[in-house]
Amino acid sequence: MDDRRDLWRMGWAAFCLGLPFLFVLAPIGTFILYSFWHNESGALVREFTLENYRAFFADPVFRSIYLQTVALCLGATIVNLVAGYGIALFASRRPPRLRFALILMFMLPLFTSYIIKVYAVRGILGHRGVLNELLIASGLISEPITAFIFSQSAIFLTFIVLYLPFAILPIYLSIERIPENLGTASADLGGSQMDEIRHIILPLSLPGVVVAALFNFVMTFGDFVTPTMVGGTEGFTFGRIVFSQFGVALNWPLGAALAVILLATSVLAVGVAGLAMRWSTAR
Amino acid sequence: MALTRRGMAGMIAGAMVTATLRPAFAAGGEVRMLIWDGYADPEWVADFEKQTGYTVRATYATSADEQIAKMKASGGKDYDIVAVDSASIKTFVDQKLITPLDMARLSSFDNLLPDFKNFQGPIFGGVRYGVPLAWGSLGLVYDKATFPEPPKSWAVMWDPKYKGRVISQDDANNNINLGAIMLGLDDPFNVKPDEFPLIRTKLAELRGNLLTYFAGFDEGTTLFAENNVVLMFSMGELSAIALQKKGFDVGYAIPDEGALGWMDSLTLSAGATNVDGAYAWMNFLLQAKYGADMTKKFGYGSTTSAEGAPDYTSRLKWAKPPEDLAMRQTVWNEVRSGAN
Repeated sequence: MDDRRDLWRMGWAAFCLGLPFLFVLAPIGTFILYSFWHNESGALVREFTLENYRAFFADPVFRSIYLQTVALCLGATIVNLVAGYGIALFASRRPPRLRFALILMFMLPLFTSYIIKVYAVRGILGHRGVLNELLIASGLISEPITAFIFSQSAIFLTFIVLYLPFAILPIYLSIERIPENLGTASADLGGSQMDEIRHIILPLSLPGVVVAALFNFVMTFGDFVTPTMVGGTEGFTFGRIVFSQFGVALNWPLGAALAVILLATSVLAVGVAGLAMRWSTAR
Repeated sequence: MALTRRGMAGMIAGAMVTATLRPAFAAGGEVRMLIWDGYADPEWVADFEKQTGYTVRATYATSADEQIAKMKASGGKDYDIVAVDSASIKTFVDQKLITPLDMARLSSFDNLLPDFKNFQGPIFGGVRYGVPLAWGSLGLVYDKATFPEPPKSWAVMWDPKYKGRVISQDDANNNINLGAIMLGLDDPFNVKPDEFPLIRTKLAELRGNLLTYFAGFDEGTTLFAENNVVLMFSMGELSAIALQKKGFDVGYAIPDEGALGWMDSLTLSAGATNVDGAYAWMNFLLQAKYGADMTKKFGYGSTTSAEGAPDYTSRLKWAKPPEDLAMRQTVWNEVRSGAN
């Protein structure tokens, strides 16, 4: 009887460990392995080499696009943290029912397909888009403004629209968890509302901020569809470079190495976030 | 280009032939084909089956890579006929996936229009591996209100007058080809190392004049429609047709420098088991009547009928395997990054 239960338990454990191994670790392992091989006249050579990584560090195009992408994604992350924090704080101060409605409203976009949202943004910002039509109809301008779309700022704006919910939710949840009596105590001791936010809410909600930052940075950094669709001739980000190695170039080893660098950047972001979290809770 | 052409044709056709169930009678059974959309219309298949007693099983591929993978997996034993484009046919020959045609058995060869009889794409070492079936081009789509006459040169895309109203493909290979054609290189598919910087400069200049790049057939026509675009380095004749259907007054031009052309040939699989059936299909399909029907239904140029077909075949540069795809991608990445 016991044997059979043990068998079940072992089977279950194998299943739980096996799935992530099969679908997460094995693929990642495969592309890490690929990144140390190389292509020679179209054929894969399975010999250990650092050539692909050297190519990344030696190539000014790879490096400058990498840094540009990091800057773009950090910028969008910071804007979303500030906006997300404001919205989350505002919502958490409303009566419960309104609070729920507010948060639901901001989460609603998550129920729509990502690609539809990008198209929607383009429909709004385009030369014949809603925004231009409105401005022309109101007589403010006579020719459509072309600067709204197909530029780095269009990518920036679209990132903010797409990923704001991922900033609001974790921050809101961490503010929610702060016991109300801390605020009451602060008020009893003569603290103003600003004091309460600065000395109680902000420090205690930092874990949520860290998670929000992480979500925003990692997701924008890997997103190569948005830049392509709204970035115009400036819509060339690091994700696109990775992608390009799997197209006609068919240089999988180099593509894999660039993907490892993308992954490493995200892991680094997670690491920094972890440290920040530990630092914020230790205080 | 190939992928979208297929997708579009698939939508237009709306119907697909799959395994046709029919009692095996008369001559030798099933002809299995690995082809592109629009190459086995149900009406033609019905005619063929009635006339010959063979049955047809068509498998549709979405890319040449997929075709090669499928053929390599079985050494070609899963198919009797493969429709191969002129840029990849060399790979098929090199990998021994297709086998020379027996011209004595290809009675329909005489039906080809002269231009296509002389087409050298499927001939390697004096041996013919394929018979041309369909073709198309990557031309210039232009707004007729802005250009009452079709533009004579690709240079119009570089004209600062149209800054921000031009769109171009986001495709390494096709852009290098365009640059090479613009520079008037003898062989746009064999760019020399010292010519790449010239092409890069040319394409970088174009970048500054563009509204945006586009990836994919639908994206191109959508961007054209949503913005005040007047010129597009297009993915083919169907781009203009799709825009005209949306109500845009556009034309399709092949400038004097020439344009890229694609040409698909029917080939015999190295693992063909129904060789008789394969020749029967080639001899059946390569008739003016089906060629004209293909142009009408799918917009492809036909090799057997000039009916409804454009007159610019002589100005097309038929796509060949390029000298170095990795190099082309590197140059294209440099252009895209704006590093120039």
